[in-house]
This record gives sequence, structure tokens and C-alpha cells, in this order.
Amino acid sequence: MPKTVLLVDDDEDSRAICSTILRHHGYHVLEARDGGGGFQMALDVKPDVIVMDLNLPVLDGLAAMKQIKETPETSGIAVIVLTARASPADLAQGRDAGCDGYLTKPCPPVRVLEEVQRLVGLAEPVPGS
Amino acid sequence: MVDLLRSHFQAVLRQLPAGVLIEEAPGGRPVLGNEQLAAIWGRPFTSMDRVEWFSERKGFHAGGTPYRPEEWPSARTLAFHEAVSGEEIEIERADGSRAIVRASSAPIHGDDGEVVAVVSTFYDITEPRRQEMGRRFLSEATTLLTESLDYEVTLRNVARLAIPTLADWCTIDVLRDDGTIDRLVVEHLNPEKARLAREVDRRYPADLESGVGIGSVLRTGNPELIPEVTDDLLVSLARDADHLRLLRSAAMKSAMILPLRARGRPLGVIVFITAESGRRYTEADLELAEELAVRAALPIDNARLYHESQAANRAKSDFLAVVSHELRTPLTAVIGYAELLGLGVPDPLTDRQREQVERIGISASHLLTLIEEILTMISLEVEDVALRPTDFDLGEVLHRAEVIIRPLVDAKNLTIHVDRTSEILFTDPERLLQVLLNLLSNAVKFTDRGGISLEVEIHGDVVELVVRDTGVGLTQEQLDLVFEPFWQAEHPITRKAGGAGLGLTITLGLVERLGGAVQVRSDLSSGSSFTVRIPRRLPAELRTSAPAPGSS
Repeated sequence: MPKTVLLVDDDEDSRAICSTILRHHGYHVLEARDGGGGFQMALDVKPDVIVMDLNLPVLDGLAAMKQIKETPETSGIAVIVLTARASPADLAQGRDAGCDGYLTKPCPPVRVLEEVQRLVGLAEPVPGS
Repeated sequence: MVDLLRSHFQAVLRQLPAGVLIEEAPGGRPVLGNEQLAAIWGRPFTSMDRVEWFSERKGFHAGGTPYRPEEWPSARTLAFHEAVSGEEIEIERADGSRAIVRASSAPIHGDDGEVVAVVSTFYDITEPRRQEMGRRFLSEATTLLTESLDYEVTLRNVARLAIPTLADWCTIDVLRDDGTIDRLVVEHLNPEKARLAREVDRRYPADLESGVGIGSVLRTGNPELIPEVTDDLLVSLARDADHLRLLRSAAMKSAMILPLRARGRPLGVIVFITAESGRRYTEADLELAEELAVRAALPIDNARLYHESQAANRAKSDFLAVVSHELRTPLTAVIGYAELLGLGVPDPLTDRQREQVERIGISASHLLTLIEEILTMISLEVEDVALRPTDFDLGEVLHRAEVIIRPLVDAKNLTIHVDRTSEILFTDPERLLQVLLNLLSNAVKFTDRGGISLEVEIHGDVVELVVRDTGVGLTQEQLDLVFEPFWQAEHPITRKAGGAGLGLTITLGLVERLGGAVQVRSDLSSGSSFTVRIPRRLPAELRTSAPAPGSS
């Protein structure tokens, strides 16, 4: 069973680029367009890692990440932030919300792959309820 | 003989600048007065020509308490035979207006030495006293204007100062952007009355369409002087019976309504009213009030300017953020897809295809850098870089610069030398680091052999930082253009080095924000050197990033 990556981004190109390289390297990739959908999918599917944009409709990325980290069923899932917000304050906010990796756009697709590889290898899967 | 003396005496009295009054003993009945006396008191001598006038005349001590009949100089002279010299009294004239007089009195002795009468002189010193008071008042008001940055506080202080010197009651209305007015200040001698006044304003807000009062003054920009607030005026102002009752209960005597204006724009209205003091405003009072209004308008104008410039800057910043996002998103996609293709994901490309895809990627990256540099430069211009000056060790900033730049230097097999130093500066370390990084990366970019260096010298209050390279160098013609935006992008020699050509323009902008200057020296044989000179301590006028109130 391949590792599952959930991409949460409202930008279709960003999702397409990430999913292409991840699928190419054998990952099972799921996609969501907004923070609320992302959280729901995380709850339903329990992916191994989530790549999350911050500027998201419905529920923004920080709030979605907090929900994921505060909900017992999903709190063990690694989250990589992938965002255009690059200031030290943004980074600190991401860390506070519990992110496991922080990448800034524009980001080479290889960096996303490397970060997923680093975390999926380290993250312990949380048993489902 | 007596007649001749009498006519001589009358002539002398007419020529004297003083008002002269002779009252006879023992009761003080006025028996003689000249025209000047009548002018000062604003009533003909015939109306004074009776004993009761002693108790009828109205005068006030400096503190405002009235003169009792026995306190008048002539009464004291009659009672105690003493001479009184140069006593300043504020008198109320027949028409209710006030004047300040200098009064003296001396006894007139009869043939056998007894006091038969008293002669008093009155000099009208209203004008010089008012001017002196006005000057003092205005200078105090001017001092107040600089005491608080909050214009509401300032205006309240100005209104308080006006009471009781200029008014018993002062209100200030400020014009809002939507054309309505806001009663910012209501100050009254009597706090109870201030509450009543606020209550009236709340129930009956000023009618801006009205042909008299605040609305008319705002529209025309002309002040109104109402020497006497008549009952007819109150009736015409009242909206209903209850309003009229409230207006009458305020017992207004006299009023001045002045526009607050700056740079030709109406900003509000200041109103001065007398009631308890019974004072009647004159043209001289209006002049003083106009001077005060000019001063009171300044803090409002400054606050408004500041507010407007802040709002404009915010709008520009928001626009920049949107533009930045909208431009970056599609470019990021172009770069991402190009990289995927270059990696051969999902399918491998031919060598020719890969070469073309790489060119797409390089051009897109170049465009992205260009956009970011342009946006940085625009934001430097519109946002005012928020400087965060602090005490720090220059040596640490130099070290950080070296650590960040070293990978670039190593990648091109160059050498780097950075001076060691330990100097405490007071300026913005992050901005200084940004300047050094821009210059160092620029130096690396144009150097293929040799190395770069960063040297420090302290000259008194000035820090001199020199970034030197052994690169391609610049001709005199190029030196003249090096800080011009986009210069490099148009230049074939440097195009291959990448970047948008805004780095040095941004650097110069930053150095100027730090109160310094950049100088460049170069020739084609030995590379270039950029010398940055900044003050060790950021000058106070550069410490706030917000535009100073009053500047436009």
C-alpha cells in the first residue's frame, strides 16, 4: 500500500505540479481545494502527509492545520506548509500552528518531493478510530 | 475773574487726555466731568449727575469680583482723605461693554483745609491691556498646540484656555468627511452649564442649512460677530418651544462664530459665547478670536493630512500585495511545469526539448526576479520603509552577511575577505544587512576571477563600508548610470549575469533611508568598489517611518 499525500491548495496548477512529481515517485495523491474540504478529507482518509497552502477559501490554511493538529484522529498526520507567505512572522505562525515543514512558493517540485520523503519516513502512522 | 478762571479750567479739561470727574463732599455727588469721561463710561455726564451713581456704576477687580460702592478710589478719598494713584479697574459701560481704566483720585481742600471735593482721573487703557492679554493668550495657545499629538486633546486645551479670558463658553465643531459635523468640544465656566449645552446639542443638532450660525459660517468662511444675543435671535433659532426655553435658560449675552480653515478648506467651527460675565464682544475681540482660530485649525489640518497619507499608503500597499500575488501565481506555475518537464516527469524529453524547457524556466525565473525587485522598489517609495533602529554590534551584521554570501562565493571559486570589527551602532541592522547583501551579491555576480571584500572604517560619527570586487568593472559612462533603474537590463555585457537591474537602485534607496550615501568607483582593469557612508546613530528625523504631521 503506497503512502498517501493530501494536497490542499486552491490553485489548480500548484496541485497539478505537486501531484505529478509525487505520483511519478509512487505516492497515492488526493486533492482538496479549501481548508474545510482538506480537514474533512484528512479525517476520512487519514493520509500520511498533508501539503497545505495558507491562503485558502472557506477555512484558511492556518485554521485548517490547527483543526487537524487538535483533532485526535488527525493530530498525528504530518503537515507541510507550501505558501507564498515568506516573512519570518508567517513562518513563526506556521510553526505555532504545528506545521512539520515550511516551503515557500515559488518552490521547485523536487523540494516538495524531498520534504514529503523526509517526513513520511519519520512520521508514525496514527491508528484509526 | 471767577468766570475767566472757570473758562480756563474748562479749556484745560477739554485738552486733557484723561476723563476727569469732580465729586463733592460728603456724599460724592458728581458736579463736573469732561467729554473724555463721558466717552470712557459710554454715557453723558448728565446721566451721572446724581449721588446714586456711586452705587450704580459697575467695576470689577482683576479676579472678576465687583467693586463695592465704598471701594471706588473717589469714595476712599472722600472717606479717608487719601490719594489713590493708578488703580486698574475693569468697568462696564452703559451699553454693557467692558473697558479697562487706570483710575486716580485726590482730595480738593477748601480754604480752611477741609476736604470739599475729590477729583478723579480715568485713562482708558483697554486697547493696550487687551493687546497684551491677547498676545499672552495666543502665546499660551500656541504652546498648547505642540503639547499633544492628539488633536482632540489639543482643541479641548485651547477651549479651556479661552475660558474665562475670552469666553464663558466655547464649543468646537469639526467637519467630517461626509459633510456632517461633530461637536468635539464643549467647555463652560460652569460644568453644570456644559452638561446643559451638550444636552441641547444632542436634542437639537446645529442646522447646517441655516442662513445664520455654524452652517452659514462653514459655507461662507466668514466669521460672525453677534454683539448682543437678542431674544428675537433666540426665537428665530429655536426649533420648538422647548428648544426656546433651553436657549433662554442659557442666558447668552454675546457670541462670536469663527470658521476653522487651513489651506482654503473648511475644517470646522469654533464658537465663543459670553453669559454670566455679561461681556459684549467687539471687533477687537473678534480679531483675537480669529488669531486663535487660525492656530486651532492647524492641529486638525495636521491630523487630517496624516490620516489621508496613511490611508493612501494603505491603499497602495494593498494594491501592491494583490498585484504581487496575481503576477506571481501564473509565473510560479510556468516555472513549476518547466521544472517537471526538465526532470523528465512524467516522461523523459529529448535533449533539444530539455534545452528549450530550460530556457523557458530561466526566462520565467528572470521575470519573477524582475517582478519582485520592481515591487520592492515601489514599496520602498510608497510605504516608507519601517525602520527599526536599535543598538547593535556592527561586527555581528558583517559576520551574518559573510555567512549568507559565502555559498555564492564558493560556487564561483572566488575569495572573500570581511573586516572584523566590534562597533556599537544605533540604526536598523536588518536594513543595513540588506544593503550589504545587495552589494556583495552584486560584486559576486560581476566577478569571475579573484575575489570580493568588505572593509570597514569609522570616521567620527560616520561608518564607512566598502565592498570591493576584482570583476569586470565599469566605464565612466556606465558609472553615471549604475543607480538608474533597469540600466543593467538594457546592457548586453551585464545581461548574462542575471537580475533585473533594480538591486542597486533599491540599495541606494535603503542607504538614503538610513541617512547615508553610496559612492561608486571603478575602472575596467581593476574592478569596482561601492562605498556606503551612514551615520553611526540614525538621525532623529529619520526614526519614524510615518510622514511627519504637517508635511505633505
